[in-house]
Amino acid sequence: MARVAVMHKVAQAVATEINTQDPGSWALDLQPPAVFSYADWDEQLEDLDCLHVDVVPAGFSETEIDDRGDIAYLVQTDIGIRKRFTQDHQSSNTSRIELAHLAQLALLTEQLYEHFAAASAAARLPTLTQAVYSSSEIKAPYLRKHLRELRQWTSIISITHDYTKPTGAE
Amino acid sequence: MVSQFDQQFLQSAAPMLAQHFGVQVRLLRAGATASDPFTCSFARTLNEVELDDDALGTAAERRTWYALRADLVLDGSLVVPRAGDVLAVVDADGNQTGEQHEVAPNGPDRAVEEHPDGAHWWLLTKKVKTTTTTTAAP
Repeated sequence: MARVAVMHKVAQAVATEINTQDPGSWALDLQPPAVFSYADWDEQLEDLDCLHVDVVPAGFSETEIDDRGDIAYLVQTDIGIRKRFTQDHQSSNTSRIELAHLAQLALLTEQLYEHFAAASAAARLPTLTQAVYSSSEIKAPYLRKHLRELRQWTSIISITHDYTKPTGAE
Repeated sequence: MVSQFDQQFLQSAAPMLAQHFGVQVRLLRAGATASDPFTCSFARTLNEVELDDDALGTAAERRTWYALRADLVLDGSLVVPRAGDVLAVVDADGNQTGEQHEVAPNGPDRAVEEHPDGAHWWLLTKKVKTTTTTTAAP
């Protein structure tokens, strides 16, 4: 089996972790499921009227080699949550987006953050047990610019895992 | 005060612009009945929006429309367009084709600006729906 980069494996495992939870865990139905990618394309605004959750490798924030020859990676993975609102989500009086719809996406962002942040320092990704939770951060609770100009919710969560392995090994 | 250029544009150029480059649209607003079809012309630009924190990109097609104030009638009343309104492209029979453009601001530019002639609006939009064409079975 071909060797796979650490950041690739971790992001893939994060996407799997999101998609294998009970659907009732989240404020909104994740359909389509969270997608793992390198974000190598721009989604068209007109295609974002359904919820999109993207899991993207964001790189290494730190690496370290110990005296036993093990290499430790701090692997950062970003989760992006996007949804464009339509006229069905607007107040008929003001054309502003109804707060209830914004609240659901705010809650989903919080739930995804808490799912990983609530894990103890020793928590491992179930499908990639070498990846140990290190830290998480809500990089963007929501982007006002996108709400104003695109009528689109965009929030970003960043999760960091510690991944240690012998140098040159899988 | 309307400039001489705007006066001449309104009298001479605007009708030709609408005739040759305009498209038939209806104005849609949440909670209101769609307007009657009217002709609107636009300048087309492509605008790519990059996500902050460089994770994901959203691409949006942006247009600036030139609409006659008197055409914007919803449920019998003349309305002032606003962010969230939608221009839905219609065919010769007045049926919506599926293509829609939502009124929205862009950077420092407001979603709706009154033209100095007092008879038109400039509307900034983002394309939010594309016409879906079906291919006949061979």
